[in-house]
This record gives sequence, structure tokens and C-alpha cells, in this order.
Amino acid sequence: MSVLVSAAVCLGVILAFLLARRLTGALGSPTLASPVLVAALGVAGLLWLADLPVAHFESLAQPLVMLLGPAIVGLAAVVHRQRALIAAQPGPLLVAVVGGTSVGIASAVGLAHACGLGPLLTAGLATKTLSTPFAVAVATRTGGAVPLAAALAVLTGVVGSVLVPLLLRAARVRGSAASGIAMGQAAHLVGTDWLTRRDARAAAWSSVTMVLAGVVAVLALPLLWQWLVR
Amino acid sequence: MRTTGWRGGREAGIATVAGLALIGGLAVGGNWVAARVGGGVPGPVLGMAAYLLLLATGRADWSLRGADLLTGLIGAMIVPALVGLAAFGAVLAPVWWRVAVVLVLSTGLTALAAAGLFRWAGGRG
Repeated sequence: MSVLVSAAVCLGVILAFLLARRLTGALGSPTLASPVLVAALGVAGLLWLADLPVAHFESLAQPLVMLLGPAIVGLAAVVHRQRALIAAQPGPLLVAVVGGTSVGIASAVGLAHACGLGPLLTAGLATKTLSTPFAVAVATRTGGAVPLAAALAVLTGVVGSVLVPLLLRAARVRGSAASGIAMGQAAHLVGTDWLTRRDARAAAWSSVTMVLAGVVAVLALPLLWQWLVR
Repeated sequence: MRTTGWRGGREAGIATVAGLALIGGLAVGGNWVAARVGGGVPGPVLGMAAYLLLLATGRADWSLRGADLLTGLIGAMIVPALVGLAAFGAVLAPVWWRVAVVLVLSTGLTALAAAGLFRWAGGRG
């Protein structure tokens, strides 16, 4: 019985996400209305109406969350499809990804310490520069708060989608490659989704940057974790 | 010869399921190797590397439908964790503006660093 309830909850979440994607698409894909955020608000509202505890919902939806592992495997398809882009400028791309990821992690941890945030929030912010599947993988591996890591990664995507185009314009950074790399690095999934509807070439750069940055961070972060999050 | 109608749909469905099975198998295999070998590399990343190698051989293109389905639903997989953020309301409420400052500044710095380093290293476009 609980298996059936769990399957129904997972299916319900998928339907809520697809509905949110269609709804936000019909509204012109406004940056602040990420389908993930809209679906989460809808699900949270339903839980409140049904008086269902969030912890119970999370345990029922666990099979869906476990699919993030295979989803990371599936992201190899993104790299495979964009292999021509990678082969065209491998050095600059690698420098941008490794450097951007390092700045993202170091600035988040440094600023969190400077603002007096505790280890729990510092750990959540340390992974915010990764796209959510990778942030969840790091949080799971390091024993961090998975919901916090996932939420901060999504919020970073929303903030980045608004902020990055303005910053790049102010800094006179032009070109699909540079702007796509900046967006994929700083605003990962949400930013790539935003670019997909505006500049297909920049979106390709963004998607490949997002995946490579996730791999770099997943390899490096667990080794540096004790030193970074104290 | 092109396949049309229900036959094409059935073949696409079979390719999707087979692709999902391959990717699921690689994820399980990656976790198995990671648990036994260690070294700090997460299982799904090992699975991703193996899948990338398979795709590079040109013999696994049939599985891309399954990959597209999975990656297209990543957003749905994140929703439960985001809803679970409610449990951290008490932690976030007193410091939300400090968290916002970190998010905005760090995100801006990251974007500028990535774009600047790409240009500095001779990147074009």
C-alpha cells in the first residue's frame, strides 16, 4: 500500500512540475518564476491544505529524489552533444570552469564566514555554485543538509538569471561563448533554461559549463570540505 | 525506411526504456565501484564517465531518448528537497538578509570570474 502511495506522490510531483513548466512557458518564462519554484510552492500549498507533514511527504517522494543519481549519468548526453564546442576551445573552457568554480566556492564560503553564518548555512552556500543534482550529491556525501543545498542552488539559479545578464552588459562582455559560460557557471540549471529561450548557442555553452563545473566541484569539494566548512 | 504511427511510437518507447535501463545500470555500477574502490569520486560521476565513453564509441546513441527524459525531469526531482526547506525556516528566518548578500555577491563574482578567465585564456565568441 505504501509503495502505491509513494508512486502516486512521485507521479503527482512530476505532474506538478510539468504543469508549472507549461504555465510559466505560457507566461513568457519570467525569470523569477522558475518552474521548480512554482511547482514547489504548489506542492507546499497542497501539503498545507491536506495537513500532511513535510517530513512524511519527503519520505514518500524519496524514490523520485533517488533518480538524481541516474540523472547525473544522463548529463553525459549534454557533454556528448556539445563535444564540438569543447573541442574548439578546450583550454579557455577548462580555465573558465576550474577558475569560476573555485571563485564560486571560495567567495561563498568566505562571505558566509564574514557574515557570521554558522557551519550549516556555510555548508549549504558552499555548494550553491553547482547545479542542483551535483549540490545534492556533495551534500549527501559530506553529510550536509540536502534540502538546504538543493534550495540554495535553485535560488542561486534564479538570482543569477536576473543578475548575470545585467553584470555582463555593465562589464561589456559580449559573445555567446563568454556569456553562456558565465551563466552556466553562476546560474546553472535555471540560467541555462533562461538562455535556451533566448540564445541557443549561449545555452549550449551554458549547459556544458554547468555539467563540467559540477564534475570539477564534486571531485574537489569532499577533499576540501573539512577545511572549508568549520 | 521511416517508421510512422504507432510502430514508430512503440520503437521510440522501447528505445527510451532501454536507455533508462542502461543509464540506471551505469548509476548502480558507478555506486558499486565507488563503494568498493573509494577515492572520493561519487558513483553517479563514475557512471557519467562510463556513459560518456560509451557515447563516444558511437554505439549508444539509441539510449539518448532515455537520457533526455531523465535530464528533462531533473527539475521535478528537486521539488521534494525544495519543499523540505520548510524544516529550515527557523534557521533561515533570523539571517535571511545575510544569506541574500552572500548569494548575490558570490553569484556576481562567479559570473565575472568565469567570463573574464575565458577571455584571459584566449577564448573567442
